[in-house]
Amino acid sequence: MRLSRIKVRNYRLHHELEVALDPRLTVLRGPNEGGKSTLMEAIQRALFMKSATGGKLHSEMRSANFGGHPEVELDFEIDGNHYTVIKHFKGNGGTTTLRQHGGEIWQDAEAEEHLDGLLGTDVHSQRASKDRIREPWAHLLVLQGESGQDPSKQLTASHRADLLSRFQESGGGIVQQSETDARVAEAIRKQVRETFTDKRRTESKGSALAQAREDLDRSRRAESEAREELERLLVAIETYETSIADIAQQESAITNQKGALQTIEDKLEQVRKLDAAVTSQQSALKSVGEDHDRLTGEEEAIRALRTQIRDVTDEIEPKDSERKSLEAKLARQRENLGELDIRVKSAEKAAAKARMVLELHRGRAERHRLQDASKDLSKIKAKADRLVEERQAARKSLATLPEIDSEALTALKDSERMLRTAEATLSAISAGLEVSESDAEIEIGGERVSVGERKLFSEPVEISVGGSVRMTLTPGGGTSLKQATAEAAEARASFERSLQSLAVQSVGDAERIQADRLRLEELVDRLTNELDEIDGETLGESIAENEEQLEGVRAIIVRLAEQTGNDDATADLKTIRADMREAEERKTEAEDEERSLRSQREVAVGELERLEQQIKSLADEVSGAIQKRDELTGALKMRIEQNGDDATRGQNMDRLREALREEQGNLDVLQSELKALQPEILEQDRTRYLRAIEKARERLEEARSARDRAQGELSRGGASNPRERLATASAQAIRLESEVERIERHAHALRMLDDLFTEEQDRLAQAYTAPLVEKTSEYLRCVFGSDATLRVELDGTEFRDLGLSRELDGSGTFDFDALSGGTREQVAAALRLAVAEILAEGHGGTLPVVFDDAFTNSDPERTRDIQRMLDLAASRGLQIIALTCSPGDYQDLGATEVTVNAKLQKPERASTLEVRDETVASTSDLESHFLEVLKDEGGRSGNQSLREALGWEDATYDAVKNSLVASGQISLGRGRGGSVVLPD
Amino acid sequence: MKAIKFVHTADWQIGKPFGSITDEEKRQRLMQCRIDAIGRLANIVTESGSSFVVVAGDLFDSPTVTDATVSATLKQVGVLGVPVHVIPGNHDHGGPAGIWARRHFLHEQEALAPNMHVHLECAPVELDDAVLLPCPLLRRHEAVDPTAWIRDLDWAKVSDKPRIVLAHGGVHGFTTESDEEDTGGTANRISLERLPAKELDFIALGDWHGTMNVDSNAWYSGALEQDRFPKGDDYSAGNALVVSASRSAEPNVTIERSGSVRWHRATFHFTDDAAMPTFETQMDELLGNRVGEDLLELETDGALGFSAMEMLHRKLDVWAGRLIRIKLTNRVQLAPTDLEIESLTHRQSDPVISRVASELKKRATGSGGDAELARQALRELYLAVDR
Repeated sequence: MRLSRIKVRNYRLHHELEVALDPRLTVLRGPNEGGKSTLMEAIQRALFMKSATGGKLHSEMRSANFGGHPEVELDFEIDGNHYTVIKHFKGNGGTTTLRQHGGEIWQDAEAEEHLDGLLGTDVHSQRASKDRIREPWAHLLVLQGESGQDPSKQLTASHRADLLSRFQESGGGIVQQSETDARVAEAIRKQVRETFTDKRRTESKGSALAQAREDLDRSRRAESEAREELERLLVAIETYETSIADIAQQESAITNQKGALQTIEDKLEQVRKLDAAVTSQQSALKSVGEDHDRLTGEEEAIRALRTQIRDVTDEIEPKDSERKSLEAKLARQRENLGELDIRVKSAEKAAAKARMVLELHRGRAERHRLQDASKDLSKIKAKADRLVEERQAARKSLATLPEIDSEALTALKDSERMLRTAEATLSAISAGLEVSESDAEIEIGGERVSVGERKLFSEPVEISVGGSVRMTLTPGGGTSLKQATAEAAEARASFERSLQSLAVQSVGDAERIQADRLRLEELVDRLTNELDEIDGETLGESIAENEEQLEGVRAIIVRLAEQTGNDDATADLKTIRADMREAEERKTEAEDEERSLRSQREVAVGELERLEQQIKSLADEVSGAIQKRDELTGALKMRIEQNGDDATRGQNMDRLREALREEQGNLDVLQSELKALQPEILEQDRTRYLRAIEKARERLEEARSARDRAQGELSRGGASNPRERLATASAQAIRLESEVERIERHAHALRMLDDLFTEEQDRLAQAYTAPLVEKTSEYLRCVFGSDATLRVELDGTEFRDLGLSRELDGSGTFDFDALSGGTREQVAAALRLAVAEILAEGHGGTLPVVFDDAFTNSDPERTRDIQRMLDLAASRGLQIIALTCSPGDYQDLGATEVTVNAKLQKPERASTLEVRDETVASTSDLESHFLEVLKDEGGRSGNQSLREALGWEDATYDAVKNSLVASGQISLGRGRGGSVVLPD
Repeated sequence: MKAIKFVHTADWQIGKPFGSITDEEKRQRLMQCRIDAIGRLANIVTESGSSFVVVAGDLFDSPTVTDATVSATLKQVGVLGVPVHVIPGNHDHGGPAGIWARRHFLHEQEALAPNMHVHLECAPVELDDAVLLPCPLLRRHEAVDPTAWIRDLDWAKVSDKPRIVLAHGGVHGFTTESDEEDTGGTANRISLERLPAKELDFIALGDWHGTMNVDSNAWYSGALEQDRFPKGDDYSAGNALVVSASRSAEPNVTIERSGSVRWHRATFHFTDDAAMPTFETQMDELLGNRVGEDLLELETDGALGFSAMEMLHRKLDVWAGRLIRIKLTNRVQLAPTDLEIESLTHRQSDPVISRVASELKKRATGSGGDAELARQALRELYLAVDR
């Protein structure tokens, strides 16, 4: 089948267009929206759409711009016969004309039936739909945007059947499965599917196997619950019985332990008693020990006392004998001292005599001197006596003169001068009054004064004249006249007294007497001085004293001379002095002798005193020792009195030693008894038993409460038998287990069968698909190189697992869906060409294959290869029609090129209103279309869905519907929004 | 010396759940059969003129049986009419938490079965015409011989009436038999040889569920109603013993049937498909047309083809309906006949089936899991093609 020419009129955007198609390669080029695809649709509808089709399919074909119904005219050729089909789409009134060139003409239904026959389809007898129109050539017409889809999925059952029959024909001797094969395989497959999911590996829910498994699980749960319950009950029984036994055991244990504890307590009591006994025994022992110690101490004290007494006694004897020898020595010393005393006395006498002699001679010398002095004194006495007489005469003359010295004379002169002065002053200051004439009595100072009288006043005086005048007269301005008068009197008196006291008559007398007195006084002084020079005053005393001394010396000489008998009163001073020197020597010798003897005596006295001291000290020591011995002896005596004599004490000591041994023995016995009881272990045992009893009581309580709990658990039983429940549940589980196993075995056996059937069927399918694979691969090699092969599986009658295999470059096989968009387009194209080539055999050796912009995703560098593939297809008899908006892609194809651009054909654009008018004008068309579509809907439809199926506006739909209801061609039905119904 | 007659029974195990029977109705029926057996025991007592019954332990299956079971049992015991002397066994041991101490039991004993005497002490019990020497188990597992106390009895003080020992446990060679027991080998062991044989006139034993004369005067009565598949050909259970005993004489023992349920054990070897009819005949003979009275433990082995195996399964399904239980150990291997295999591998018109069958045939040789699976797959294919 080959297309030769297409012509459209009033078809969508085409007003009128005619295109001649090359039998081998045609490229239809034009811009997007230029009407290329519309042309393809027109070809499909010319071939596969019932011309009497209304509704949307019809209305969408109609041009929005041009009036008139769409019309398509198509020339084609099959098996060398040329045909023209003309379809005039006028809704339900569409017409079809089929004309065989140089032959018959068929009209409408007949024409369409004949057309179906030519094309091997069955589309015109059915109501048209988009799918139905598209289906027959879906594998040949590659629409825009579908070029990358898996073409095997677009093959209809009839295509596949067609293909399979072609495969069988081409495959020659290849066997095909029988009906029985298919039936059995299907039956088995069905069973497998009931058990497993599509993938056939997991069990599907709701299958018998899954059901059995669920039952088994349930049953196992029930079993486990029953087991738990039974175990709980058995545990309760066990607990109850063991706790009862335990209670008994613990009770008996407690009794035993209490017995044991009592025994221990008894022993502990014994221990306590023994402890007390030991303590008391220890104190008894101690007491005896103390007695023993005390007595031992006494014994030692006595022994010590005795030793001390002996020592003291030993001390006394030597000291006493030493004292005695010292006393003898003392006696001798006293004798010696007596002799010395005598010698001292005689020396003393000798010395005294020597000193008397010396005194005698000194007296003689003194007497000599005193006798000389007495002669001198008598001469001086005579001179002194004459001087005294001269002075006595002077003193007598003096005594006759008044005693006027220079001071008295001066004072007399002063007194005389003061008298003269005072008298002068008085006469200078006194006032005088003299009454010369007066007829009035005048009184002065109360004394009547007569005329011519004169009065002197030295002091203030009141003067009255008559009875009416009185006045006061004050002389000298004050009172001094009186004072001056007094002073003058005084001065005179004083001068008078001075003259009297000096016993003179005048100052001249006084001056001459005073000169006499001076001369006499000077004579007296001179005589006195001369006397003083010779001690004249005391000379008498000195003569008396000398005489007295002479008298005393003469008496001493007499007394000494009587004792010594040696006075030579005539010896001169020289001899006397020689005697004196000799006596001096005699006295010194005697005194030295005396002094030496006295010193010897003092030494002897010292020795004597020392001896006396030693003797006293020894005597003290001896008496001290004796006293100590007496004390010690007393103490000893007392101790012996207290503790008895030696024998008694010895017995006592023995007795105490014995008692000590005995008490110690008793103590040892007690202690060993105590030790034998092992008190520390007893205490430990006691603690242990107390603890054990406590623990046993705890266990007893535990056992009791366990018993009570178990009893509670047991008392709930009786209504059902858990053992029975478990037994049935277990058996049920076992049964279900084997059931599951059985079903599983069965299912696996079936699956094995199914697998084998599938395998076998696949193997057959593989044989079928070989030609398809081979042909497609030839196309693929044009594009992908010599190693490219197609992979496809035939599953029953369906293709699956489409893929591209590249053996050489080692990249393996790729699933179709995993390929890139461009590669998918190319692989899909190769498969379409192969399928078309195979199917072409049933269509006069050729079929058109249309690619409508089918390689938009392919790389530009692939276009050369794609053109090679298309050229190969054309060379094998296929008619290739390529639609493109970029004609450069097919530059090297060497195809006939036709430009399709509706925009260039368009006359003026018609108004929408005009189209409407035209549509509305044909009411009968609308009504018949309404009825047609309603019929297709099954004679009954909701208004809404029908209106949508018609593609009408509400107003149009309602108008047509109402008209049809009015004419009784339809009736109204119920339903939401209303419905319409065709009458039966 | 006057002989006394009494019935010796044991191991009633009332309340045994028989959990392995998954059909609840059948399970309940089987449990009820055990209570009903007491009624048949009443007949034996009456017919034999026995003056009392001794139950040598395990009257109840467990200490946990329901109160309802206790009541139903005691009601039946009351019907027996004569004194019933019971000792606890290992299943219903006499502990303080045991069934015998349960308040409900004590109440129902007084109300429904005053003739029932439970002996919980090891001490001689003097009856009118006999002396009982009960050896109760007070624990589930007694480590010491429960009859030990009898050895040291001062026989001079024991009455000269026939002396009957009641004990529960295993004796030499017959240790406890129950397959669900978990006792150690030495628990509840009775040393008969250590008992003073001359002093004792009958030893009524319980625990072993088959009737068994273990010594001149020692017997296991066996379970009152059989409760398990027989262990051997000479295994007999579901009996009670009528004992005629007198002092210092051999007892006279009669075995009486008390059970009603039949427990069968069978094995069959399928040499080939031809053995199928023989198997059917044998089974028919064994089971007859009875319904709800039998239990069968069946072991099969050998090999069968697809059709014969299918037939066997259909037959088993029938028995599963009729019998109280069928415990099947089926080791029969699927061994399709050559004809059956060829019917699959030689299908000229169905290439896929023949190829699949050939592959399976290849895989089915051998004995591994995959081979077994392949055989099963072959069978499924066979059935699918045949359908």
